[in-house]
Amino acid sequence: MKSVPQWRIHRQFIAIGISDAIAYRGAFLLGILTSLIPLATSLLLWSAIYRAGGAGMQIAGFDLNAMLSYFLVTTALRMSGLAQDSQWEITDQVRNGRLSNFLLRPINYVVMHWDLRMTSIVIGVALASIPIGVVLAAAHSVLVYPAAGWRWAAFALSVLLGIQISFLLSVCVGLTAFWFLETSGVMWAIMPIQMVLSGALFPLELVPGWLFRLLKFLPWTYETYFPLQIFLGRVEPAAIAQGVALQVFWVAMLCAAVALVWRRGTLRYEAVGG
Amino acid sequence: MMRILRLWKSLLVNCIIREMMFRANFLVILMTTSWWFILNILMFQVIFSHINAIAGWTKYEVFFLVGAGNSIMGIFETLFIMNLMRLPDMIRTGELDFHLLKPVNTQFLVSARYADFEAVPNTVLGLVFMGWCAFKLKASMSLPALASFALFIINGVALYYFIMFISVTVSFWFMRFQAMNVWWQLTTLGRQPAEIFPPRLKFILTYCLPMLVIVNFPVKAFLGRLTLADGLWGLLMTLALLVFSGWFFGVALKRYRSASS
Repeated sequence: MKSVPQWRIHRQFIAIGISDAIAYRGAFLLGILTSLIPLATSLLLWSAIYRAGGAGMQIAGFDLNAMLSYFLVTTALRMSGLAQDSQWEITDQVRNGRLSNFLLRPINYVVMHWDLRMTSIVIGVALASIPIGVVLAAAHSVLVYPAAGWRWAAFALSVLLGIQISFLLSVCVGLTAFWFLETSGVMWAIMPIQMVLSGALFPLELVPGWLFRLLKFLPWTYETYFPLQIFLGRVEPAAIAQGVALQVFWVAMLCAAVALVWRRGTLRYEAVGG
Repeated sequence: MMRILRLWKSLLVNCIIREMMFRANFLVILMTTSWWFILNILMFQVIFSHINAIAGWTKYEVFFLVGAGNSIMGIFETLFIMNLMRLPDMIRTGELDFHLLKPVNTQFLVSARYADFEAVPNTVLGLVFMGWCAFKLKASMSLPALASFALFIINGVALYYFIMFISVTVSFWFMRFQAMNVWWQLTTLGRQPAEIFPPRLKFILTYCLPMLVIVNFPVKAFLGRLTLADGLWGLLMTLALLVFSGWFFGVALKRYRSASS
């Protein structure tokens, strides 16, 4: 039997990902506009907080502009689709037995999801660039951004690694469906925790010191929180190198974890309903 | 009216009995649903270690507001959310027929048939927390203050329900309209202290898109800061939306095609 070259498989998934993302562009853009509401809330709330503290107030090393920039850039990153999850779809496919469809084909299920996810992020960035650009331009007077080119490069690199970490984490969570019949409750429960750990709700420096030191060892911190630290100029070159190294470490660890969970899980798989 | 309330009571009893068949642990539900609430409190706890007041709101006043927001949303979720989320599907599949055939107000039936008790523990947590804040605030727990607080809690739930119901009714025209999510996000505005907003935005959010009436008004009523005129406006708005939603639902029903039946 003639085997299909890998690159053609990838090309096909990318094409599927593109048409998927384009088909749901309306919902995606509505989602972007909707996420401006909590952004506005955060900006207004924190402005009021800093007004109360008087000029020159700092909270956990953030002055007003740094704090506002923190929320602006986090939201921009999340709006571009970085916060999308593969876990819901994976869980669904495992539970309904639709996974069997993919097991029968000469493809790697996780790689397929990776193709789809990366494509949707690229399209997401393209679609979101205009609204994000408008918001950031409107806020340019408070926005703190890197001056040096190398910092932009480090930021881009760590965002890329952060995307991989967030993808691998969501695959791990999704694949637990092999063991648990009902995972949506678990996922709803951990979603806020994940959001906090990735720094989406507030800067992690706000938590007590011992907890902050602990969080720095967890992978979630490296999804969006660490890239933001680079962007806002809050970490120096040595710390950047260390952080990026930790990101690479987590990508490797999570790849191993996904491979292990996948191997164990497929052995248990019963193809219910499939 | 009394008939509706009696019916509502038996529907709730029916739902509680159904719920009892799948008894879940109260504590487990509490732990999985109260995260947002706890995180919000922790965030303000940290913030108030740096300042004394946000836009005129002291720490326990803000805490009280967060608790009120939690409970009001909890009551709304318990009574209505399951039903409102099902409505677009009922329109699409023609399942609405069964509700139309029954000799009760259809708007009531599609809005309140099923209760979802998952949000109850979280609602109770919010209420207990508010009690603690009231104690810390050394609030005068006079009868008028408590009565107006209760009145505006109910008013807030009702107002929020009418807004959500009207936006779900739009799905008679647009099947895939996801207005509820937008309103859901808008409530994040309504749960903040009203005074953080610039005056013009605060005006809009009080008198046009009444998000600040839902959670801020009961708290202000409790703290004795709600003016009579604002209070009356809040109640009037709910009344107006009650009438409007009924009329709008009637118009929308004319478009119902009872598809696929």
